[in-house]
Amino acid sequence: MAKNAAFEILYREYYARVFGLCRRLLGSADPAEDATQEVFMRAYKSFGRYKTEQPFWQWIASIANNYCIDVLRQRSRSPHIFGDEEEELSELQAQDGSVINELIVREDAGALNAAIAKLPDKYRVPLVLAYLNQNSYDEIAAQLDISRNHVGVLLLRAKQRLRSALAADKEAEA
Amino acid sequence: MSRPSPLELSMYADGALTGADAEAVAAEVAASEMYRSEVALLKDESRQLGTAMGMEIEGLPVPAFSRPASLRGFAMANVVTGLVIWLAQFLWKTLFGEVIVEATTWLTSVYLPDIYAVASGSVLYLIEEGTAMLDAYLVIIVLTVLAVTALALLFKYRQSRSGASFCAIAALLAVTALPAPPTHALEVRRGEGVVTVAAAETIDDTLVVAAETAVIDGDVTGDLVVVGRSIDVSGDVGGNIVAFAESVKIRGSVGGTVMGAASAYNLTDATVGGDVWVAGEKVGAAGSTQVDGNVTFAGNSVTIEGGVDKDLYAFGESVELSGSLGEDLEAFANRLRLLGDASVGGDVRFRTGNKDNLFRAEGVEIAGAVEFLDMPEEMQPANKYATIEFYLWQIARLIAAFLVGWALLTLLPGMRNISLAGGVEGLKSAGIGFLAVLAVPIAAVLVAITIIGLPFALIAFGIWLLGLYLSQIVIARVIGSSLVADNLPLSLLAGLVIVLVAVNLPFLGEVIDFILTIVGLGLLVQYLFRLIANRGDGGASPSFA
Repeated sequence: MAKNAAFEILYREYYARVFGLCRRLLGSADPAEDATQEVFMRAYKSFGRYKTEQPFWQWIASIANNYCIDVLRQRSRSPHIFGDEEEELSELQAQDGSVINELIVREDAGALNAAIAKLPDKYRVPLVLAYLNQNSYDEIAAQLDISRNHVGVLLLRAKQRLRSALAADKEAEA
Repeated sequence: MSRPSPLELSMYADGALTGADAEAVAAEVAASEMYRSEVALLKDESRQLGTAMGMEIEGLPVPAFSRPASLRGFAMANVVTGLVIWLAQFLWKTLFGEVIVEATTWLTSVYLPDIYAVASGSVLYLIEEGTAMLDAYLVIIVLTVLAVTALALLFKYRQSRSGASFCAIAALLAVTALPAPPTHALEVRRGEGVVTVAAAETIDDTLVVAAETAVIDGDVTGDLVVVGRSIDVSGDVGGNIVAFAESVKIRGSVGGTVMGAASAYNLTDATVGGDVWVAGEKVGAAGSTQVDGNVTFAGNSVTIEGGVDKDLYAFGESVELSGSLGEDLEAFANRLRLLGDASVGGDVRFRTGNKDNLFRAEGVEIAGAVEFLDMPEEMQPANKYATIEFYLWQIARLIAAFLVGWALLTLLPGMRNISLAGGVEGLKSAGIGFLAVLAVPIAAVLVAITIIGLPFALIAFGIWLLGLYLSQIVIARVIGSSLVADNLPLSLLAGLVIVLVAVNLPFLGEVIDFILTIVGLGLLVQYLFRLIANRGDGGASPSFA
């Protein structure tokens, strides 16, 4: 009974954060709702094994990460959704950092999130894990089953894509 | 080191470079204002991204969390369900299959008026068939429960190949270890118009037909149960026939017993291996009908043209025999006509008050004697109040009701608090009781029609009858407690005496009986509902005060 009561409290407290994480990882709200329920369902089943030394957010976020990545893999029908490191590296473009940051800073959060949602899964997922979840490159590499360097390439490509998208939006507005 | 690449700068800004790589980039960044600025921008960019993505949705509704059903709970529920089913099956077979069937068989073996023999025979048949069908269907239910459990386990451990294999093997073993599929299979055909079993068709199961018109030209190897307006059976039936309709015609061969009721129930050129128990407005065995067992006919007009190997029991306004009987004829009728071709292998017993009501044609052969008997006492009107048996019976009823009431109030002390608060409360109780009086038998009959639901219907009837009996004890207690408040046995006794006297009053007794029954039943139903509700809340016995 105590377990149920504790879990209920944690559920109410962390629902929005887990939903937000799932939404960022999956790119839209509808599948995120289902994913959030499933994540809490899985968390409830393994709640007995949860160690209180570990922050609850860290624990449930890892469940959410794993579940959402599985969903994305099933959606793409391929376990290798994050591409090839060499190919990604060859597509890297040199860009002016100051312009990039200026564009990002001037954008409102809503537009920025919309641009993030439009990113392909392979760029959006590491971006979310790195900057929203604050996972290290090693943690991301382990979760996505890719090399550490590949993580760096994907993140850089993700940011470049974002910059391009934001620059295009800015030009359109002008 | 050469100029750091965008990837190295990005990773450096994210703190993802280690060792020599990190040191080399750090040196370049330290030496170059441009790199320092770029790294600062990258860090700021990461922070901005984190902040933007971390924005939570305000007012996001949090849906209720539905806990997953635990596999352990599910498995336990299945096990308990299985046990309950097997226990019910065991009790059913033991209680009804052995005790009641045996007792009823014994009772019917002693003398009873034959109308009771028809009724008890019908009940016996239904109990035996119901037991067999319940037995068969319970096996199916248990199989299903086990299969569902196995599938749930399979699903649970689907990621483990060994677990899946284990579950598959276990499920296979469980299924193969169970008894063979039911031999008493059942085929049901329903229709609003005509349901036909074609002449070329053979039904290898027990056939249940419900239709306005049922035409059974084909053969049925099991039993045939038919309900409808018009029934015509010309095919052969290996088992028994149970038919209820406005008109029933049986023209084929029947291996077992024929029973049922209809406005017109006729066997024409039929052969019956067992007995015949039929009631209706016009009943008869016409043409070359041959019955190997006994025949019991009850109807306004009873006609027997064919042959009966054993006894004939006939109840009716007019009984006419022109066929042959192997043994005795016993007739409860206003008129008995033995026509020219009739022959009786045993005695003729005619229960009548007037010997002139027997017509015996010339040439009728009667091997035994012809006896004229008075109508049974129970069929003659009598003044019940003039007999000592009536008063002895009422005393026995009083003692029995007192003992049952005493036990009831001791076991369920909360019932002592039952009271009738006022007029509205009384009407409410009467309404509830009336509903229970009507609804339970209707529901039970509807369930019984499904055959498989027969045992449940019988249980419901039993509970209903018990409720009717207890209702008068409950109302007697309520009446008694208003007279003698502090003495339980005395108040119960006083109430029972009043109720017994009231329900036996001439003319008004039946009305009072009905009113007291529905009010008492209503109070009982309300008490039981509150008892269940309070148990659910962990509360004490309900109070009606």
